[in-house]
Amino acid sequence: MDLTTLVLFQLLNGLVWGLVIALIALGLALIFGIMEVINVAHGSLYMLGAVLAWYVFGVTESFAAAVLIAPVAVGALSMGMERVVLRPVENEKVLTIIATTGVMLVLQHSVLATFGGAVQRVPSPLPGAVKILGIHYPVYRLAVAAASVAAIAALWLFLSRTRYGLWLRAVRQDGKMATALGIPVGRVYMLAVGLGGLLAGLGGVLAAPIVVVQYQMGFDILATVFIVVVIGGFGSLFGAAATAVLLGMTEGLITVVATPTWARITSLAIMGAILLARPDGIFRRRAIAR
Amino acid sequence: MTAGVVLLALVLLPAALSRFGRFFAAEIFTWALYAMGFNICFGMTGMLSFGHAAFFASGAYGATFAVLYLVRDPWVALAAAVVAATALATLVGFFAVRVVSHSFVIITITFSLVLLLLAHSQKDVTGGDDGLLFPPLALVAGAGPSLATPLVSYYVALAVLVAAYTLLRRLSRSPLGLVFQAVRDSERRATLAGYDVQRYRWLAFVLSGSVAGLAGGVYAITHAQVNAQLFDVTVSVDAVIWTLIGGAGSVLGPAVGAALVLAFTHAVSGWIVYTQIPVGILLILIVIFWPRGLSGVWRSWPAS
Repeated sequence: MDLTTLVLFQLLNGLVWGLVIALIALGLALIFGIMEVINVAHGSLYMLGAVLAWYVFGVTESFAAAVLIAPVAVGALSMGMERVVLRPVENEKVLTIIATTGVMLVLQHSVLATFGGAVQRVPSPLPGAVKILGIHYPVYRLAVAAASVAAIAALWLFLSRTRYGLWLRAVRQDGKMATALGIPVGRVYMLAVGLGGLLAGLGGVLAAPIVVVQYQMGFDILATVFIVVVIGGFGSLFGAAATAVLLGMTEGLITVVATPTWARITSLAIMGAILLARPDGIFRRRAIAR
Repeated sequence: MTAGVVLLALVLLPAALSRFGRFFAAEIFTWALYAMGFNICFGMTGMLSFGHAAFFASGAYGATFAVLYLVRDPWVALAAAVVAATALATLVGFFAVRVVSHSFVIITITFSLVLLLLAHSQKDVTGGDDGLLFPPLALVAGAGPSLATPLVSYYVALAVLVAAYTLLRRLSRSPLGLVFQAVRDSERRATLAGYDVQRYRWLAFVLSGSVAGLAGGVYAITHAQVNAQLFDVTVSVDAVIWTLIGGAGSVLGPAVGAALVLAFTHAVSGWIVYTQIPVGILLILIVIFWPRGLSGVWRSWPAS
């Protein structure tokens, strides 16, 4: 491959991966924006999505079944987590970090106990490549990008066009006022965490055929989405999605000349620089910050 | 008086212990030291770090590299451990202390996660999960009894722990320690009293990282091996749990917590293979039923 092709290829990779990260980061930002909960278990929910996809695919031999079942299962589990673990500590940000860390340990090691620690692979459901911009690019990755965009669009439609979406936005702006107006805030919280988990699980399913599936795979993603939300600003949905895509493409470009780990370290350095210049992130809005 | 009795008991204890008992006690001393270091940051200065594994592990690797490439002496190795961890804590702290509360947690955990990735990816340097091994050291520069003997590693770990405890106790009552506690109790009041709060938080963070690194150094010289798993998030989480159980309000509390939890996990390890699952459940239960453990206990610091 000559340099132009390589750069294009890595930029496309970065875009696809950035869109997957955007899904997962949106889930994290949604949960934080509405409940002020920092979900340390978010990486484990992504991991669970990927592991369930591998399992469902192994049983049914249908990737479509995995796409349908795994995210919903992860979302349902997240709703349970909200009810049991987060409800008692919902107003203490630091406490929720510790509680969700507990959830992370339980999830990760339950997967280790159930499915073992071996590295698993999911075969690509859409093998083959198409010629795009003069390079041969795997079809499945393009499908992943399309699916991510569709999911993000669906989330936006849900938030802006439905009654529950309106309630979510109301609670995000002012929880007390929302309660006073008769919005079932408890149910809205549960829905927010469920949606956040669903997005993380979907990210896991989509990523499963691209990456290796293993119980520790969530750490990598957790680091990435934390960098994304620190740069983008906590709770800013648009900021999280935009940062994820930009960061994904930056990392893609860097992998032209260095290993992915050094790309991640560059992201960390960018986060450090943003922290010095704008400790609240670049897209932070006051209404969410509070 | 009480301290003297306890110290005497600890010095005489190996006589009553089996080979494994001595080794396990050295292990407990090592992690107790780590927890005490963590608590400079958490209990004394009020910053909840979720990334202290990075300092423990960098200390362990610093010591190992000193043994492999410099000189086969445990005390030089310990010095190298402190230097490595201090350097890393200075860097991470430079960024982390600019933010407080939940953002601080996020920054520290993010740094440690990236270092974990780095440690796993640079296998030729860190040895990855298999780690790095070196032949057990002799007590002083190639002479004296071997640190592979549990009795020797017991006394080395105990000596470092007692020395660090004495220093930390002094620190907690020194003017500097009082400033740390003032910063913890009220950032605004400390600022109004004329202290550069960010700078003191940074200093506390670096000191905390140094002690955690020293503990990592003790781990390296007593085990004669290190691996990338020392960077794992669970190592950071352990420090939090031990401190919550032992109490963040004193120098010794976290050490006691470490000893209790390690003894407990060892006792149940025969029945429960995946010990991190009960640990996670314990963490959730602490948060739900005893949240004040995270904010209230440090009011009991002896000073002020």
